[in-house]
Amino acid sequence: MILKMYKVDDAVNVINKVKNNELVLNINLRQNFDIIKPVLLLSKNDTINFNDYNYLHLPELKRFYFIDEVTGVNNKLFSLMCSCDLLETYKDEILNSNTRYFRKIRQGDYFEGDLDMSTRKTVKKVFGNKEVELETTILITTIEDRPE
Amino acid sequence: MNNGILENSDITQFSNNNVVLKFDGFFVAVAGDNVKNQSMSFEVSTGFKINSIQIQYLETEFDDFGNMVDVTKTADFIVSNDNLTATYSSGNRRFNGFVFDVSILASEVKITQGDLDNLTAKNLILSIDSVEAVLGDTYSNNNLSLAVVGDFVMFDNSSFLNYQIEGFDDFGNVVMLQEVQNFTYAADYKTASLITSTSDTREYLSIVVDTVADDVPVIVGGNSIYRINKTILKNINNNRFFDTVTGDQLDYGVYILNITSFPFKLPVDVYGEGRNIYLADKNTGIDAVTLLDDEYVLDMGTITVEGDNQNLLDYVGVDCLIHLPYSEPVSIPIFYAMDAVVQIDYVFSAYNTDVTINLRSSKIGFNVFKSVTVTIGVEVPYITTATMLEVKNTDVLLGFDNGVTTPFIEFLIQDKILDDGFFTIPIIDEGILLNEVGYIRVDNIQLEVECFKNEKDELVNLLSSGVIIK
Repeated sequence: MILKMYKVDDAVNVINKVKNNELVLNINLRQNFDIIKPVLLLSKNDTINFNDYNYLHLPELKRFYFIDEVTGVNNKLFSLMCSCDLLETYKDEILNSNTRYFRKIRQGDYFEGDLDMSTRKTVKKVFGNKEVELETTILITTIEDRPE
Repeated sequence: MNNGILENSDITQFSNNNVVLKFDGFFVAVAGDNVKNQSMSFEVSTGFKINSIQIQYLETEFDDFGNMVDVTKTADFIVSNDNLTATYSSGNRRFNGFVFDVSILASEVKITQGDLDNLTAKNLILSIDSVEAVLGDTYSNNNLSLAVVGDFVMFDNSSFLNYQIEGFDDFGNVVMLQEVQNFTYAADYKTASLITSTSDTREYLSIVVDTVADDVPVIVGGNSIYRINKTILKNINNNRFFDTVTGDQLDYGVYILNITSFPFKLPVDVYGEGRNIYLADKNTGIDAVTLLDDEYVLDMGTITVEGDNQNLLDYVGVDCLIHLPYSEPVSIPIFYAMDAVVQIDYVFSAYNTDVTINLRSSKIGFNVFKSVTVTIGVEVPYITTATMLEVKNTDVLLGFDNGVTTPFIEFLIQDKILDDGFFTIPIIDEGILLNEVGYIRVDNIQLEVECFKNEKDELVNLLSSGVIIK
C-alpha cells in the first residue's frame, strides 16, 4: 500500500491544506489497523527522518492523517500515532454540501449591525506654521512713586 | 410781504435760502412786485435742492363766538422732480410770506469750516482721494482717509459719515432713514479709510470724527512691569531692605505686587525702554526693560487644513483635537477646522499665571470660536506682605511642558478595527462552500458523506467551530 508522508504547516482546521516534502513509501498494513486512529510501525533507514513529517495520506483508503506523535520503539523501528484529518478527507463532500454559514463581508454585501470592537484612530495631523520659542520670561510688577 | 407786495425782507429771505423768484419763468422778482395772480417759480442755486416751499396767506373766518378773524393758511409750491424748481400760480389772496425748506444737494456735501475745526481738534487730517481736504471740498464717490497726528488713536465706530436713505416705516410708508457709514481702521488705529458711494440713493449729510490719547497704560500709572532675570531678582532682594534712622528695617518688598514666570519668549514689540526699578519712592538703581502693557498677545501662528475628500467624508465621524504648547489637547468642532485656517493666540496677563488661549477660524472671519484658560506661568514664591502671611506659591506645579512647540490639529475617526478582520465574519450566507475562501463558521449543514456516524458528528462539530478554507 502506498503511504505518502508530508510536512504541513497549516492549522488543523484548514481545508485544502498545503502539503510539502512529499515522501512516498510502500508499506504493508497489519491486521489490527485502526482506520480512525492508526498506529504505524515503520523501520527507519539512513535517508528518512520521521520527525520531519507531520502528515500522511493513504490513497487506497482515501484518508488523510495527522501524525500526532512519533516514538522510537528501538533504534530501527518507529511508531507513528496518527489521527484522521476528517476535514481534508471529506473536503469534497463538505465543500459541495448545502450550508448556512457565517463569512467575512465582501463587496456587494449590505450589513446593518455592530461590529465587535471599535477604537479612535488618527487619520491626519496638520501642523501650524510657527514654532514657539521656549524661553523663561520673568516679570516683576511693582508699585512706584517715581519722581516726575 | 404785505398783502402780496414783496418787500426787501422777502428778497433777503430768498437769498438766504439760495433761491430766486421769477414771474412767468423769466422776470426776477424785486421789492415792490405784487405776487397776486402771477405764475411764480423759484429756482434754487447750484449745489442746493428744494424740498418744499409754501406761500402764506390770510383768510377771514368766524371764531366760536361768531367774530370775524384772520387765519394764516398755506399753499404748496409744486416742486420739480429734480428739486431744482418750484412753481405756483397765485390767485387774488392776501399773501403775506413764504416758508422754505431748501437743503444742500447730497452729492455736493461740502467740507465746512466746522468740519475742519473738528478734525483739528481731534488731531486728524482728512484726505479726499489722497488730497488733504480744504474748505468747500465735496465728497461723493470718493475715497476718504483719516490720519492721526501725534500720540492719538481712533477707536472702533468713533468716526463715520451720517447719511440718509429712502426706506419704509412700519406702516409701509416711504421715509428717509438716518444711517451711518463707518470708517475702516488700520490695525494700529492710526489711519482709517472709507469710500463714499452713489450706487444707491444714500445722501451724505455730515462727517463725525473722534480720537483718544494713545497712552501707555501701565508705565504711566502706579504700576510698572519689568522683564527681569535671576541676577536682577537677586539685586532687587539686596536693595529691598532699608534701615531707618531709628534702626528699624523697612522691607520695600511689599511694593512688589507679584513675580511671574512664563516659559515663552515674548515678542519684542511688548517691551519698552529700560529704566531703574522703583519700589514705591525708593530707586533700587537696578535697570530693567519695561513692558508697555500689562496684557500681551503671543501669536502662535495658523494651521491651514484642507480636506482630503472635499466632501462630507471629511466631516462625518471625525473628531478634531488641537494640540497646543503647555496645554491639554482641546477638542474643537470639525466645522471650524476642516477646509479652514485656524489661528491661535495666547493672551497673557502680567498679574497672574492664567493664559487665555483664543482659537479663531477663517470660517467665521477669524472671530474667536473657542477660548480656554490654562495655567501656564508660575507665580514665583518670593514675596510676602502683612495681609498675605503665606508666601505666594500657588500654581507652581500646574505649568507643564507637554513637548509641543508647534501647534497641530489631530483628526481622529471612530475606526471599526475588525471590520476587515480575518476572523470577523458578520455576514450570514447560504449555499455550498466550494467558492468560499477564508474563515467561515457553519451554522447548519446538509452533509452527505459516506463515513462513520461519529465522524459525521465530529465533522459538524469542526465546521461549527470554524474552519479556514484555502
